[in-house]
Amino acid sequence: MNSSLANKVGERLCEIDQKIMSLFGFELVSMTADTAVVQMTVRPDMVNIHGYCHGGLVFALADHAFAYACMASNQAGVTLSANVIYSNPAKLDDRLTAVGQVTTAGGRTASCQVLVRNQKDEIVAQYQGVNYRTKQQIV
Amino acid sequence: MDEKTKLAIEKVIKNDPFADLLNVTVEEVSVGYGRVSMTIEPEHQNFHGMTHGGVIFSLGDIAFAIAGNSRGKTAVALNVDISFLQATQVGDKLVGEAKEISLNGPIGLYEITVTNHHNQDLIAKSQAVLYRKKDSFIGD
Repeated sequence: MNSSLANKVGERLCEIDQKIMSLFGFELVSMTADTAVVQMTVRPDMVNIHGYCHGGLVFALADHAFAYACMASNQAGVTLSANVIYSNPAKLDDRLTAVGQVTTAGGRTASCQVLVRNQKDEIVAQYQGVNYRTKQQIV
Repeated sequence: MDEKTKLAIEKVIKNDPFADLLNVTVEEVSVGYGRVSMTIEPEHQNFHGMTHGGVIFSLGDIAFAIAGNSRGKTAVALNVDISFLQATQVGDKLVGEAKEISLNGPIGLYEITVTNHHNQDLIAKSQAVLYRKKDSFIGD
């Protein structure tokens, strides 16, 4: 397992996920065998009634980094459960970076933590999730 | 709550840009309760061909925002726990529902469900905690 495999997996995932990634403005920055970094900028169509970035989108960004980190080892999987803590609101035009790091990986499940930060390096959200491995390969 | 206040709150609550991005329809707004729906489009899929977890979470979160803001006070989410129970596909109509379970001072607890409109199957279930600020978003 190496980062060149992770890069190939990342390229393939981005190719298939093109539509959802453009809907949410997600960009894959990097992937290693057990990490994934995904970024987005808060657009006007992503805010809630209070003018902050919608919590659903912050979750989606973290969930995306989570899924890619879990699948970086070329093992497909789905999210079973996740928990998100919102620490600071994200605002219009904020640049958000989600860093997903696999913490434990077994045969059928993997767990992963994600931190979402803004451009000032403040933590926007903390995510923790469990991934179920479907035994398929990505590439 | 008088009718005028109720309508003013509803007007703000229904003006959610992110809900528009996902083509979410607001079905019901009441005190401590929200119900919304959306139909899954090809752009909502993940690489498995299933609905992206972030989309399902978002639908529930939009219902949660309605329930949480339904008293006209600004509510912010503190924590959400979600379990994904069943996959859904393009063309499925999903319903997001949020119910207030507890409200104690500024802290509220909500139960959120996402179900398949066609067969009532439970797709995802969440428990969420919010903090309600003192300021009203509709003025006095």
